[in-house]
Amino acid sequence: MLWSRWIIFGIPATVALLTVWSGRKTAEIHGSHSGLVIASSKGTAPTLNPFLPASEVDRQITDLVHEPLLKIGTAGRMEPAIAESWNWSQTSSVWFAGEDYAKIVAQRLNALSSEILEKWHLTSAEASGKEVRLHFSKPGTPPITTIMPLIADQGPLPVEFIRVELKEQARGYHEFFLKNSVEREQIKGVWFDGPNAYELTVSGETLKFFEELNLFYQNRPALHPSVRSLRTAPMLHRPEVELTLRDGAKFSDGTPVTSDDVRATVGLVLSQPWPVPGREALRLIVNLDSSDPRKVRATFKEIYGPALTAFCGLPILPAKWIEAQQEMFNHGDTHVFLDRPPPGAGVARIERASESSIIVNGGRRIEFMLDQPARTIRMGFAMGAVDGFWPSKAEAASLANDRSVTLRPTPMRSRLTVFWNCRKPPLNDPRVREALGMAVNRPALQRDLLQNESVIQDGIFQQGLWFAQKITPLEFNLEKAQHTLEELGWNRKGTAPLMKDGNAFRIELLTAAGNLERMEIAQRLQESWKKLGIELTITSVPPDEFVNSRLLEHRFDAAMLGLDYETSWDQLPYWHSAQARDGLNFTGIADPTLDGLLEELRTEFNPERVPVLAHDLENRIVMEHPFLALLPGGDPVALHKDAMLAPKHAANGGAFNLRAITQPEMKQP
Amino acid sequence: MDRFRPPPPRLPLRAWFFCVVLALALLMRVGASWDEALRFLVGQNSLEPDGQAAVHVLLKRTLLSFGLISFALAIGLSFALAGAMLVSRLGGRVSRFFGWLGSLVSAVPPMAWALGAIYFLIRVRHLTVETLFPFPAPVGGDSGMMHLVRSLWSWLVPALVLAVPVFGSALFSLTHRLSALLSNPKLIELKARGLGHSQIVFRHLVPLLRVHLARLARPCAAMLLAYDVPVEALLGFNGWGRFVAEKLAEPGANSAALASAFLFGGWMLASCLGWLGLLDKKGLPLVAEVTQESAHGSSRIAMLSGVGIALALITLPLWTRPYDLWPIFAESSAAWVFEIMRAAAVSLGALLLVLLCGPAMCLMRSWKWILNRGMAATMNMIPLLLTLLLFEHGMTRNWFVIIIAAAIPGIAAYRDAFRDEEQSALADAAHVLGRKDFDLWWHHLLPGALPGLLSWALRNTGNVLLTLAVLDFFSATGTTSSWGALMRIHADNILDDPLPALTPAIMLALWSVSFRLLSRGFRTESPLPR
Repeated sequence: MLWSRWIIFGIPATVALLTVWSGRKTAEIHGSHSGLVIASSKGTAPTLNPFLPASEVDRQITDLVHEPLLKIGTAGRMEPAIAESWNWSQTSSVWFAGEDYAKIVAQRLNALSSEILEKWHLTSAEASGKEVRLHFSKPGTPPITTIMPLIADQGPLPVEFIRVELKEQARGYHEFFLKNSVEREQIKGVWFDGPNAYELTVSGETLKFFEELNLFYQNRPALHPSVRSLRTAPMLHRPEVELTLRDGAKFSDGTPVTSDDVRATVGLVLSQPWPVPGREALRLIVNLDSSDPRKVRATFKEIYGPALTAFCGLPILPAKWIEAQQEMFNHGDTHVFLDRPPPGAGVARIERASESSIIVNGGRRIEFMLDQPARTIRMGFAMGAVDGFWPSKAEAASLANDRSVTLRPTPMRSRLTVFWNCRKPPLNDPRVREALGMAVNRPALQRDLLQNESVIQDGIFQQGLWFAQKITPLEFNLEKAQHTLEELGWNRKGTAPLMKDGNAFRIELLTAAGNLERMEIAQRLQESWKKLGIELTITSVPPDEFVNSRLLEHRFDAAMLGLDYETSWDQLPYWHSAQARDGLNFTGIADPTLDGLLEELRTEFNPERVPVLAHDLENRIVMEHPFLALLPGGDPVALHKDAMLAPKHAANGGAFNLRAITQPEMKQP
Repeated sequence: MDRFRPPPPRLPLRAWFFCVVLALALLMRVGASWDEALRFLVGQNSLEPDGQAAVHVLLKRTLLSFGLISFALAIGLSFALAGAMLVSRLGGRVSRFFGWLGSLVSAVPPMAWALGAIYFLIRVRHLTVETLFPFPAPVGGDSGMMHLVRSLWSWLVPALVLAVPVFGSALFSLTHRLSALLSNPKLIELKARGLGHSQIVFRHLVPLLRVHLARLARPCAAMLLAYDVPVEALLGFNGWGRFVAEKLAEPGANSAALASAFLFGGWMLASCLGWLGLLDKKGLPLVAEVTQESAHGSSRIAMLSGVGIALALITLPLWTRPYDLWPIFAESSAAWVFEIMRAAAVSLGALLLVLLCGPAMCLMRSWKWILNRGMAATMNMIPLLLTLLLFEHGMTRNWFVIIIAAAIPGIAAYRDAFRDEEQSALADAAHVLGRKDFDLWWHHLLPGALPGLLSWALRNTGNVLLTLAVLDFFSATGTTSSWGALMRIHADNILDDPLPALTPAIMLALWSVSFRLLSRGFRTESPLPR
C-alpha cells in the first residue's frame, strides 16, 4: 500500500518540482547574454550592399562596418570620417584664337594688385597654348563681369556645351569621331552621362564643329542621334576638391585605406544602377586623381555647390575587393556582398553572414536575426532573447505601456507626402491647398499609425541637418479651412458637396497599388476632406504607371508619394519651373523668385551661407503649399532598456542608431 | 467516461493497419502508382517534392512527438489520479463537482492551453519557452548540465500543455468512478473490519483504477495525437505535429506529405496502444462489474446546471454590460449562434448515421462482421485525427467527413450495445417466437435507445464544438468568424492582448460543458452507456 501511495503522489510531485527547477534555471541562463540581438521579420532579406540597403538592418550594419569619406556628425554638420580634411579650389579656363593672346591675358591678370587678386580669390593665371587657366582658391562663379572687360581686347572665345544622345553605347562612336574629325582641336572636354550620352565642351569655330558633328551622326541614322547645343558660356569652370585621408585609416583586414580605394568605389557606384544618395553629384566628376595614396582630387564638370555631399555617407570599399568581384558586378550579381562581405573601415567587422543571421563584432557582438516570423520575434523579445525589433502597430501600442521597453523612431530618411498638381484648378490656388492641409488631423494620424514617436515635418530638408530649420506645422483647424474655402467662393448646403459656380469640388488621389498602409492613410484623408464636402476618389495605380504615365504626364490632381531625404541642399530638380514640363517638378509650381533662390543655392559652396539661402527657399516653398507632408518614413524600433547602454541620442531626435548606442564599447579598428 | 470495455485483441495492430490503409488512400488520391504506394510503405515518399516527408526526416520528428505524447499522457493521468484520490476524501458530491471542473478543463481547446501557457510563462512569470525562439547557447551555458536543463524545460512546457486536457478528462472519469466504487455496498464489509478510507482506496480500489486508467488512456492517447498538432505548432516543438500543422497551413496542402504523416501517426497510435496494453487486464474484476452508475438525482442537478450555464451564456450581454465586461466577450459572443447551430447540425447528422446503422445491422448480417468489435474500437481511436488529416482543398468544406468522424464513436458504441442486447435473454425469446432482427430492433431496441441517443447527441454536440474549433484553427472549414478562427487570428497578438484569443476558448468550453451536463439528464444504461 505504501509503494502505491509513493507512486501515485510521487510522480506528480516530482514533475512539479522538475518543472519549477528547470524553468527557473533556464530563465537564469538566458538572463545573462552578453551580445545584442536585433531581429527582423520575413520579407526583408539582407543584401549587405552598403550602397543599396534593402532594410534598416542593412543600414545599421553598413553604419557599423563601413566608414565613409565624410559623414554627418552629431551636430548635423559635415564632419571628417576617412577624409580628415578637404580643400576646395577652382580652375576656370578661357580660350583664345592664338597663343600670344593667351600669354598676354595671363601676364595681365598676374600683374593685378594683390588686393584685387585676393578679392577675386584668384591665385594665378597660367597660359597653356591657346588656353588661360585661372586658378581660384575658392570655388563658385568668379567675377566674370569684372574680368571679361580686362581681357576682352584679346578676343576670348566662347565655350559651347553640346550634348549627344544615341541609342547605342556612345564611347566608341565618340572615339572614332575624335580620330577622324577635322575640327577635333576645338574639343576642350568630354563628359559621359551614362553609356549612351555625352557632353562636349567646345571652344573655337563652334559652328563648323557642330556641322561636322551633326553630319557624322546624320550618316548613322540607326543610332537615332540627338545632337543639340545646351548653352554657351564665357569660361569653363572646373571646381576641384582635394580630400586628405586620415593617417591610419584601415580596413578591418588591416590594409590601409588609399585614394585608389576611393577611386574604385566611385567607379563601382557609377557603373551600377544603384540609386545612391549623391549619385548625381558623383556623375559630375570629370576626373578623380588618385596619384597620391593619401589624397583624392576630384574635379567637377561645372559649378555645383553641394558637390561635397556626394562623398558624405559614401562607404569606401577596398579597391582589391572590388577588382576581384568585378566579373560578378558586370553580370549584375550583387549577392557577392552577402557571400563574400567586403572588409570595411568602420568600427565593427562582419563575423558571419548568411540569409538568416548576420553577426557583427566590434568589441560588442551584435547578432542580426533575419527572416524570422513576426510571432517568433515578438516571443523572443518578450523572453529577452531579442534586444530590439521592429514591432507592428498593435505590438508597438502595447509595448508603449511597458516600462522596460523603449520605442525609438527609425532615423527619418523619407517622408510620405501628398503632392498637389498646382496646374489644375481649383488646386492651382495656394489658399485652397492650405485649406486642404488644415482639414487633415495629422497629429491624430501620427498617433494612430506611428504611436506619436515622430513629429510632422512641413519643410523640405531633413531635420537635424545644419541648414534645416524648424517650421511650425500647418495646424489642424477644420473651421478655418471651411472659412477659407467659403471666402474663395466654395459653399455647401447641409451635407451636400462643396460647390462653386455649379461645379462640385472633386479630387482624385493617386496611390501606389498594393500598399495597404497608404490605402489606409488615403481613406483617412478621404474622411477628413469629406467633412468639408470635398469628394475624394482614391485610385490605386501600379508603380510603373504611377510615375511614367501619371506624374510625368501631369495626369493627376493629388498623388501620395514617398520621398527620400537628401543631404544635398540642391532642390532645383524638384521645384524649378524649368523642370515642370518634363522634369521632376511634378507639382508644376512655377515662381520666378523661387527659381532664383534655387539657382543661387545650387551654386553655393560655402556651408555657412547655405542655411540663409535654404531658409529663404524653404519658407518660399512652404508658403506655396505645393505638398502636404503626412508621415515621416520608418517604423519605430522597440528596444529593451537594459540592453541599450546609451541614453537617447539628442542629435538625431533619439532615433535608433546602433553605432551611437554601442559606441562606448566599440573600438576603432 | 466512467466505465470502459476491455480492448479487442490486437488493437495496436488493427489501429496501425487502419492508418496505413487511410495513408495509402490519401496517396492514391494524388495519383500515386502501386509501385509508389509500395515504396511508400517502406519509407520512400517519391511524391513529396521537398523531401520533408522523407522517412529519415519524419521518423526523427515522429519519435520526438511519440515521446512527448507518452510523457504528456503519463503526466496527465498521474496528476488526475493523485487529484482524484485527494478529493475522494471530501465526499461523493464534492468529488463529482471537482470531476465536472475537470470536464470543463478538458473542454477547453488545446490551442487555448498553449496560448495561455505562452502568456503565463512569458508575460506573467517572465520565464522562457525554449522552443519558441532559436536561443543561442549563452556564454558558459554550453555545459552538459545546462544542456540537460534546457532540454528538460523545452520538453516539459509542451508536455504539460498537452497533459492538461488529459488531466481534465481523467479527473472527470476517475472522480466519478471512484465515487461509484466507494458507494459499492460490498465495501461495508471492509469498513466493518475496521479498514479506514485510505486502506480501502489504496489496497482494494487502486488495482481496479489501474485497469480503468489504462482503458481511459487509449482514447486519451488518440486525442493527444490530434491535439499534438496545434500544440506543437503554437509552441514551436519540432515534432510530427508541427510538420502536420505546417503542411495543413500551406495553400494546397500536400496529400503525399499528409499521407506520410498519417502513416507515422498510425505508428505512434499503435505504439501508444501497445504500451498501454501492458497496464490493462483481460477482464474487469468482479467488483467493477457490479458497480452501479451514479444516482439519477445527480443527473437532474447536472441537467439543471447545464441549462443554467446555457442561459447565462445566451444572456451574456445583459449581465456583462453593467460591469463593462461586454467588450471582452463581444466578438466571441457574436459567434455563438453560428457555432451552436453548426455543431448541432453536425451532431444531428451523426445521430442519423448512428440510427441508420441499426437497420443496416439487422438487414445485413455481414455488417456485424465488417463492423466488428475490433474495427469499432479502432475507428473510435481516430476521429479527430482522421478529420484533421483528411482535409485539403476541395475537402475542406466536405462536412460529410466531419459528420462521419463525429458519428464513429456513436456507431461503435451503438454496435456494442446492439450486440449486447442481441445476446440477451430478451433477444433469445424474441427469436424463439419467430421475430426477425429488424422487428427486434424496431420494437424493442430503438424505443429503449432513444433517450440514450439523445444524451449521446447532446454530449456529441459539445465534442463537435471542440473538433470544429481545432479544424477552424487550421482554416479547415473556411470560416473566419468562428471561435477557432478567432483564436487563430488573435494568436499572434497573445502577448500584447491575450483576451481576444482566449475568450473564444472560454465560451467554447462553457458551451461544451453545458451540453455535457444537459446530456446527463437523458442518461440511461442502454444502448449508449458511456
